[in-house]
Amino acid sequence: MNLHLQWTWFHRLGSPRWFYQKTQRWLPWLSFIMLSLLVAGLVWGLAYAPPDAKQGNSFRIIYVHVPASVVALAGYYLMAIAGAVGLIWRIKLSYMLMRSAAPIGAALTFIALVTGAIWGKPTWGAYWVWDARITSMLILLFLYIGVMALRHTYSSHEAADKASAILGLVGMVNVPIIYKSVDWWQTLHQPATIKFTGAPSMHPDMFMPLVVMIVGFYAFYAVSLILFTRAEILRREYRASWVKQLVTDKLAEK
Amino acid sequence: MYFDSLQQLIFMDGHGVYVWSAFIISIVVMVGLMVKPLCQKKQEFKNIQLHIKLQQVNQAATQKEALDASHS
Amino acid sequence: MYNYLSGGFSAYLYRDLLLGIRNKTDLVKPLIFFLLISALVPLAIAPEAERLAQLAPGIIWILAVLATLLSVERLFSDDLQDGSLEQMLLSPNMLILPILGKIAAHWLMIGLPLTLLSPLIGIWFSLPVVAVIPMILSLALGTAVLSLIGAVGAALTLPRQGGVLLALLVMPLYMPVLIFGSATIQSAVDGLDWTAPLAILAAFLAIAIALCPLAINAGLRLAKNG
Repeated sequence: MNLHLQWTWFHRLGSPRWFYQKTQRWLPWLSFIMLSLLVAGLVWGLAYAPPDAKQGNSFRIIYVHVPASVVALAGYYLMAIAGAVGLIWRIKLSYMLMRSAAPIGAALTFIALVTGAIWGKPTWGAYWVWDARITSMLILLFLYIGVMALRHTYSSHEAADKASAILGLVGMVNVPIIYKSVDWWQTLHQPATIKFTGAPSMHPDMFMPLVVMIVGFYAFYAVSLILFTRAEILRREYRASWVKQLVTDKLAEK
Repeated sequence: MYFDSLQQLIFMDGHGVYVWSAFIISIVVMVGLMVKPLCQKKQEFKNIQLHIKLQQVNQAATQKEALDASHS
Repeated sequence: MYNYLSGGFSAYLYRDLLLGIRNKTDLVKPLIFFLLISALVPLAIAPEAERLAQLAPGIIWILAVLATLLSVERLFSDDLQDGSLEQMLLSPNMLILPILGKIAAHWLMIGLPLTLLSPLIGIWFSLPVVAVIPMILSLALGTAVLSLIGAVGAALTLPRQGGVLLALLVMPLYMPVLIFGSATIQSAVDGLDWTAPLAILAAFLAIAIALCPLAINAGLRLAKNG
């Protein structure tokens, strides 16, 4: 009985209804935090940060490129862990989170790749260089697309969820191996002439806006993930009485 | 502010095209990531409304049938 | 007492080998593909020995990846169609050893012949003689990893039978093997120490043997129900 009580919070956390109602209250706050961080980071990074000594003003692309890459990579882990939680404890909500995380992660990886390519032009003189980080991002994009595409193989939600979760776990084991391999492969071949400015060696005036942007991107990720998950909850739980109540209440309001 | 004028901020010593296009593409994709689930949610609401209505119609029909059967 | 564990491994190894030997066309197809494409490369690029030797490590490895990818699709789908997969899944235990048996059979029929054929490709591409033994060793270890990872993809895509989706799932996971496999040959060509990348390939194989059967087991059980 005692054990039961201790675990109620965990099960409540896994209830789509609880998530839907709680996030309704969180969303305005989160959106406000996200907007203020992103706007502050953008203005700071674009207009106030000093330009890089070697790369000039083109280095300002770092303020979207690095946050997008960081969050895309973290997002893969979040997706895989959500899948694992779903597999182990059979929590519906965590499968919904996993499914919602895939398109967001893929889109952020896409942003990282495109901004990296644009950054490459003034820095290296070419839109595409087989730099270790860009190559790893490309592989990450394929991993995300794989998880999204695998869904269509299965006719039932449940089987598709489990299959995606398994693939996510396999990918999670592989992501560090892929990153290290690509890093090693890069050092084997010619090292890049100019590296993208590494974070630790950056001047605080340049580094602080980056921190703001990274936190802002995490907030954005949270908002987008919540929005996608809420839509997913409605799609899957349309038979639940609380969803029906929600819809009829909304109708009555109009 | 690092730049002297708005024009300089936009031009960025010739790097403006790269910087601004990178930021605009990112912003467009990110806005898309927020608008898409909202549209999905709206669509789901419509679907569920339809589902409820169909259920009510079905219920009414079966009730009427039962009523007719008891009368005859 | 009958040993269920080793029995599962050898029974499936024997069965798949027998099926493969009786149905020779499936066995020969990937090898012919491997040889044909290798013959196309000098035609498409240039017949200069120097340039070909430079490209050889990469091309041999890309072809090995494609040949395994082509063949791995059939690993479970035939069993699904004739019902023997369902029989295998009736067991309540984890099917680690039967799965490993099947994959070992696949490697013996695809990876090993590819490895044995590779010196011929080496001669075609005028690969230096010092690189032949590293090439053989790297292909022997690497194709086993490719079979294991490919089997995960094949199990997960079983309801729709692979195709492009299988390639999409598996290719990113093949990247490290490709890097270290071609690096082994390249290091030998450049006169560097080639045992280091080879050792990493061996480490990949150890990890893959330990983890892939778990994912394959879960994937196969899903495919049966889904």
